[in-house]
Amino acid sequence: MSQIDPAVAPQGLPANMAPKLLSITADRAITLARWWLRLGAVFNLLMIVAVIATAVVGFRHGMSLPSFVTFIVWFGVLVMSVRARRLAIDAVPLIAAGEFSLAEDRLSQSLQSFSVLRSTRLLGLQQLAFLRHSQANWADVAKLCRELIDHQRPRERSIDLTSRLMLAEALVELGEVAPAAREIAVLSQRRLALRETLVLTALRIEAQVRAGHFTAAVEHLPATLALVELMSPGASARCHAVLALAAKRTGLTQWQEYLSKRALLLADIDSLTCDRPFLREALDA
Amino acid sequence: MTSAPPPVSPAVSAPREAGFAPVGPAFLDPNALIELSAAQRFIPPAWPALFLAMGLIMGSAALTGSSGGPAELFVLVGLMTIWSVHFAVRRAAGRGIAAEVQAVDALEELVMLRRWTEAADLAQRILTRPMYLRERRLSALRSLGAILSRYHRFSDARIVYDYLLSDEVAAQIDSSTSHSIRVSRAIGLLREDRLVDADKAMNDLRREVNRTRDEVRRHRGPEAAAQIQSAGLVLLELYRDVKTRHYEEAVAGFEPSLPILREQLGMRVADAWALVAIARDGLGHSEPAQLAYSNATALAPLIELQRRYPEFAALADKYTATDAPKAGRS
Repeated sequence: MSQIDPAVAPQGLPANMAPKLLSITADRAITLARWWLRLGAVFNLLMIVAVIATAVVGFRHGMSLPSFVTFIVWFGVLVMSVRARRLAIDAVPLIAAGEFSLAEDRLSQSLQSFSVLRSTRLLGLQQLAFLRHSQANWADVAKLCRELIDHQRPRERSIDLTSRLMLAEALVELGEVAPAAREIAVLSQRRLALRETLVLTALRIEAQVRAGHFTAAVEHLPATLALVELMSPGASARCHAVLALAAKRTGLTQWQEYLSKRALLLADIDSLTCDRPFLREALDA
Repeated sequence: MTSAPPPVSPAVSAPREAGFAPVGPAFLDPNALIELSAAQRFIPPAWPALFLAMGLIMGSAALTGSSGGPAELFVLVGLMTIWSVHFAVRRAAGRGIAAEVQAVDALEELVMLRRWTEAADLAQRILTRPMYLRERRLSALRSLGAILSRYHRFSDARIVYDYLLSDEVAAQIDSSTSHSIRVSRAIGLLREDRLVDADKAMNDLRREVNRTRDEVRRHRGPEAAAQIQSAGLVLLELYRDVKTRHYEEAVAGFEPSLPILREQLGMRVADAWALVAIARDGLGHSEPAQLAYSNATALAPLIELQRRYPEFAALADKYTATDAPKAGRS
């Protein structure tokens, strides 16, 4: 799992002096997370039983020490679990700064570190999913998000929502339109903040066009366009191009010209079509 | 698969229900709002609950022993009372924090959606009372700066921006946010024709970009450093050239910068096209000016561009804008 990453070796240093950074595959991360989650559940159950048992014994024999010791042990184990959480949190600014190798190193350490805290394990998986999302590794994103969704509890809304959005995006990028549409339909029933609505709108439009549902994509076009204008530059350009294709296929010539003009003002045709060659049809003059 | 765009979060109405009431004499007075929101509300720490819990366990165990008596019972009841009060205070603070987070998120959404009247009202309500979270306060102040700029209260916006860039606060803001605040501040200076101050602000921005480039070059090499560019700074330079009627410089600088303008500004690249239209018209190049005018109005409403750049209004009689097609089949 260990490897030297030349991308982060300071300039001029020999390779054997460069920091060794860990990396981890999605499958290995999932295996480790499952193992730790099981261990954590068993440990917490044992601790609850131990606290109750020592409290009962203490009540019968007038001794507070066993309860106190059990409590201290439980507290100590929780403190030891904090390091794994700290490592996972350290990865957040590294991912934002584009330092992917360092982020993966922190997450590898986090997932291998001792922790009985369920939230820490899920945080590690979630951050790894964010990392893979930033690296456009959609297959790994899908695997990790499915694992997170399987483990989430009904009240853990933030994990569920973020994971489902990333999963839907990964499925669209992988061309798995039908599963993506199911996730999008689930998310559409929820009350979303504006930023989440924008992500979902972009995914919905693209999934509809990829599935050939062009009429559905151009329904409520002015309202959809108002949301597209608020998206990030890349997403906005892409959505304009996708809507231009849908407009062309449904005979909305004026809209197709307008949307393709906007798309080409926001990005050049090569960057729009390199990952999505089907868009060229709507953008070529 | 649903076809209608999903509704935007109705979080806008939530803050009024959460108890934010308008106070204060002047509407959007920046100095008053900065001062009133500054005092940080107390959030009781969690750790006392742990020691109280340990005390309760030991106390209850001691009471069940043979030596237990009225004194130990008194201590135990006292600990339980303190623990209950601590729990209640923390819970109230938690509700207040949640309401504050929701209110500031709603404010950011209103600014994004350009619902300025509602945003102004909400900003006034949020910032006229002490806030729990420092970062949310800074976020709300940043939205206030945007609202004041939108209402052309540039000197008031500058008060807010100067506070956000001050030594007291700057360390709590990340570098990209700080950069965009500086750009917004400089645009306000140009709008007010304070060209000397705007030039100084732009020089500071240029130095900041160069410093970032040098740091990236040290850690990641020259290729990564070459990618560090500021579309905001390019837009400022374009606007300054248009203001000072250096139209040739404006046009010459535009084409090479277009990729970075598109990449970073998104729909706001319309501003750059609008400024280039003014420059090309100033040089007497009608056809290129028409192209730029058409591109600008394809990306942003004409009235919005005229509000942002009064010089653009003069082109309305000369050139034809791009209109969006009507809704429905065509």
